[in-house]
Amino acid sequence: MNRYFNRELSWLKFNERVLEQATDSSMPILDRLKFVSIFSSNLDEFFMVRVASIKELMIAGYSVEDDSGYFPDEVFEKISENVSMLLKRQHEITRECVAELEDKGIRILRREDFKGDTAQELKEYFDSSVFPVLTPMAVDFGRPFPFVSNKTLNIVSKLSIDDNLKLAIVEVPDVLDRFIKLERAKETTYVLLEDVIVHFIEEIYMGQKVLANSVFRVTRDADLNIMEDDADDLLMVIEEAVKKRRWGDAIRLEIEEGADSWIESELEKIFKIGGNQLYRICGMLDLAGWFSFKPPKRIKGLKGKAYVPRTLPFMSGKNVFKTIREGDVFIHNPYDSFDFVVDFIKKASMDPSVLAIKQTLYRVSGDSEIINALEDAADRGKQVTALVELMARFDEENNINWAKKLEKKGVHVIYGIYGLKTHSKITLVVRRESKKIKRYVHLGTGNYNDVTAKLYTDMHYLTCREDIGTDATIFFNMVSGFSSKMTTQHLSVSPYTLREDFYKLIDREIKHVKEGNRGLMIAKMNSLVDKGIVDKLYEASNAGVEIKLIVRGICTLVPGVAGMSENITVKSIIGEFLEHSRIYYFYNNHHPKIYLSSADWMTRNLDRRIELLFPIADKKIAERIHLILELYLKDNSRSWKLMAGGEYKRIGKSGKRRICAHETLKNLIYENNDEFIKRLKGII
Amino acid sequence: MNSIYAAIDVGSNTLKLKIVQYSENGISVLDDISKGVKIGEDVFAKGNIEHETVKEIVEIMIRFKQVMDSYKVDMYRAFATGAMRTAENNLNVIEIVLMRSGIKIEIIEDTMEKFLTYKSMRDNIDDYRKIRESSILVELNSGSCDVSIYSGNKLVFNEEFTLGTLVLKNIMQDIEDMTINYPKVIAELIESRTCHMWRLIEKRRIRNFLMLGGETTILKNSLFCGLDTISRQDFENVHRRIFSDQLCFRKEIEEYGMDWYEFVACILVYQVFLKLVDTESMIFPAINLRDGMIAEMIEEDYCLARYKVFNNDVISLARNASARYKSCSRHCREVEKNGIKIMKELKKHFSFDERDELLLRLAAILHEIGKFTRAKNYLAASFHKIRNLSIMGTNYHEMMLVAHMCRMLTDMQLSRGSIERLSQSDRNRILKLSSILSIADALDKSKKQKIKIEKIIVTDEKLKIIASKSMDATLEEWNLGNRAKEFVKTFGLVPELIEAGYDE
Repeated sequence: MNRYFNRELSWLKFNERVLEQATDSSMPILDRLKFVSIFSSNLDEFFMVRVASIKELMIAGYSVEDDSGYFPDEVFEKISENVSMLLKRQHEITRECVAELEDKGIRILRREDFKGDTAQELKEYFDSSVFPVLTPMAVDFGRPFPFVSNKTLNIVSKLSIDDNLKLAIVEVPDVLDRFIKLERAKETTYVLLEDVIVHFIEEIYMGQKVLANSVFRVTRDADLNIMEDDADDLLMVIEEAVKKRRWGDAIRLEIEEGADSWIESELEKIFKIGGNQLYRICGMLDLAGWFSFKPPKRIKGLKGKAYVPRTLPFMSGKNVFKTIREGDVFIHNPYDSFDFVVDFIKKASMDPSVLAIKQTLYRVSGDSEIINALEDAADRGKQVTALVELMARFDEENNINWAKKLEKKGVHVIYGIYGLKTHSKITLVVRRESKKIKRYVHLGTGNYNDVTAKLYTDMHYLTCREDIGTDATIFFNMVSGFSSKMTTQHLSVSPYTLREDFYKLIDREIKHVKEGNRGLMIAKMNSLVDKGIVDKLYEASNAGVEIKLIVRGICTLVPGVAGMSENITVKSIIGEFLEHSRIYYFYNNHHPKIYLSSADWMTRNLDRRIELLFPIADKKIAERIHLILELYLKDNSRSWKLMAGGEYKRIGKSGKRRICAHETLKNLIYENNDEFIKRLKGII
Repeated sequence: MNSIYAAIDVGSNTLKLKIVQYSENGISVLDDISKGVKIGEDVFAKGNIEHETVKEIVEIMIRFKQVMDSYKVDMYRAFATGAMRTAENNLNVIEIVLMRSGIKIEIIEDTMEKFLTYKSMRDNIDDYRKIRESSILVELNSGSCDVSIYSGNKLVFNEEFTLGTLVLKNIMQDIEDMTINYPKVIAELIESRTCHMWRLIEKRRIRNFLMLGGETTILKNSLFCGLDTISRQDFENVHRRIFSDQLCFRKEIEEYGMDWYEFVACILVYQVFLKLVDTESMIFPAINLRDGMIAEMIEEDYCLARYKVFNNDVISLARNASARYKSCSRHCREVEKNGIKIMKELKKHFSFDERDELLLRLAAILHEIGKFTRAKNYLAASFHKIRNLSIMGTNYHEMMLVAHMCRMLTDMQLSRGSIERLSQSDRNRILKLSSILSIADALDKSKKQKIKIEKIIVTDEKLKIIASKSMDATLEEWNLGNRAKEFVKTFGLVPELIEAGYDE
């Protein structure tokens, strides 16, 4: 047995778990389709980044076995096999969902059913709305194959011109709705835009013979390879690279099953892809399109009620700074409102006693109140420093815009340390209170993004403890290049001290066990990939430390193997909210220590990113977080157990009381940490 | 009352800013930032600071100003040392920085730099008293090696040697082709240049060895895991490897980013002094100029006695210099004491600051050192000796003033050359201080401490010195009469010695 699972195949297993959410018949149909969509958009990103990098290795002739014992071409082949199976499963599930939609009175009509009145209505729609925005392009010697943008839907046609076969394509315009509602149909009926175009394709290539058509989609390499060494102006270089992303090498070609074989082989040649990069799709392409499906609101029961985060008494009315002075503040979103964090920054921007605000920004939402607050603070003459990470994957463009906007307003915008992505989430507010300087710090596991804060589970800690304030100052000085050493005392910072600190914490548990005491760790994260950490966990397991891991996504650690990892269990929770918080608990021989972090146990987090691990000094908050971990461990509703063979087994109720962590936390009634602890203890 | 202070250190390779908050609970650091800028490289290669480097300095200083503003700093100092001090265009650079950032940089001399750096010991080393009780501090920089000795809570010795790492590196590279054992030759050279003071160090039975200077940080972090204290054994192992494992060790050292020759120089210098000391450990003390600057500002604002013991080091060093030149210590102390008493009373009517008092005391302590060379016209000899003395905590200009004060002790005239070189305010300052010194000296002309000042009264026309006498003081009275004329010219007061009990 291998010591490590393959990370790519482990990721596919994670996406499979996401897809399986869509089979939960207790869930409203649109929520189920949301998981179908998430599966697709996840897969797109996987191809654009991970599969693209494996392809690059293969092209470069890199043929070295990875830790899981696979060569790059073997992994590529395995991915192809697995994805094909998963796609099959996805379409089965989608068909079930579409059937359920029909039960609810919503029909999705495909092009083979366009007849009679329907065809007439669609003809009018095509002529008035679709045809004017289409740009068909033929392919011949004078006109090489037209450029096909990443992830766009296109229709390829086989034309016969003067007895010669020609290809022509037309892009499905994204300015129009993908799902078109038929106005004259008796039932609520939708058709797909690409079907409408295919149906009337002859009108586009008028006078030419259209022999065959197919919808297809290309996924391209979208990883940004930026040589920062040559970058005089990083902002400009990234801007250029983002523009070029649309033209990366083709990594995957999706085409409708049953497409003309000549078309298939021509596309394979044009996009320079092999057979294991071609995916024949039985059904609708780009199922992420379900995100945009908005049936009439009058049809009830299609969607679950949107959850409204709770506002706790301390969040309203009082001065945020006074609240934090009275005691550290803990927020667990989406259950607790993220507004308090936004408010903290907004109030800081307006408060005349605030002298400076420093903040890291990784991903922010569209019309971010936080960005507005920072601009406002700069307007009011405060010293505002924003550390914007330009290379936040797929948010580069967004972040470039913020960076420019903030700079214009006089915010001191910095782009972090060469070669390291700044992924940490920290804000420092410097305030002068009765002639003394007081520092307020926010530390989080998730982004300053009010939109994702309603969907992701993240934890936030606000404090004005002097030692944390000092460390926050040192941190900002370091990342802004005004200090050469990370000399923080309480905050662990990667890539400087974080890895070593994790090792020390695990070693301490080993030591406790060796001294005849209990050793226990509970760690929750998004992914566990780092070989060093995995080996350290094996060492701890062998020493007798109990290790309970809650890993949402990739996990390369092999649990439950005698002599290697018999004391390690791994579970994964996939549910209504995306598990995003990183929590690390160490039993420490009856003196538990709990830490939150922006970092997963991934090599990139520990070695190539600026990340933070921070201790929870407040005993009540620490107890609350520990109880949340216990709740996650007890969840038997949305949990999967990783087995030694690499498969994930759904944790069933097996006669036990059903416990759903998300539901429990949504419904718990509490006004403060004490009540939370008391009530949750009563449940678990 | 001020409470937030900022100190900027414009060094040869780095600009550093430290901001602290002072309250009844002590000092808490609010910010401590630094940015590298190669001022030294420009200055040592071309003599001045290049335009691009000036631009960099300005940008950093603008940022520093923003950071200072973000804490609403109440008081700041920006001191330039090393390269900026040497740069031909230093005044232009200072002007540009002031115009662009609003920060005023002052250039300080190395004696002042050292004084402030040592002063920071008070706030940075928990058991600083232990250090002051018995320590040797060896500060190694590229151009020189500075050795100080603390004994019995006083700084008793401070001497600079031309044994900088860069200096020794050049010599090593010169002799490398002549011998395979160049470290041994360099060790010999260091010994020959320092052997005259070995006895002095050994005699004091020093208990602590402190390593300071530009090279120590990298040495500490790379070879000694960043520890503040290392064992003698560990250090000696490193020293041994220079001789026994040169090839491998050189590779290792260069991998740490250190220059091999400078590293060797550093270890050899420390080792020469370590041999004279019986200590089992060696310390990398966490002291720096910025903390010393902050200490000065806090002291200025709060009139604290917190740093008194460090301020007294200036006097302690002067006394040692005076003793080395065989001055009559009892006479010097008497002059110092009398001078302070007179100044204290005059302060009520004339303006004198703390620095004036320090200069007066230094002049009293040092005025006789010229006698060591010659008896005739010894004050002129004292003048030359004092102006060439560098005493930590004073600058060259101040020592020049002290030298003038001593020279004018008997002849209250400044030479034509001095008049041309000195500013009007300096001339006035010298006249005032030397007039006091002259009266104080006259009161112990016989060097027998016959007169004990009981009280001093300043009236509209007189400076009445009410004193008791232990024996006949005709010599003193006669001498006072001779010097009275110049005192009257300076202060408009006639000094008059009145026997206690007859002052009604």
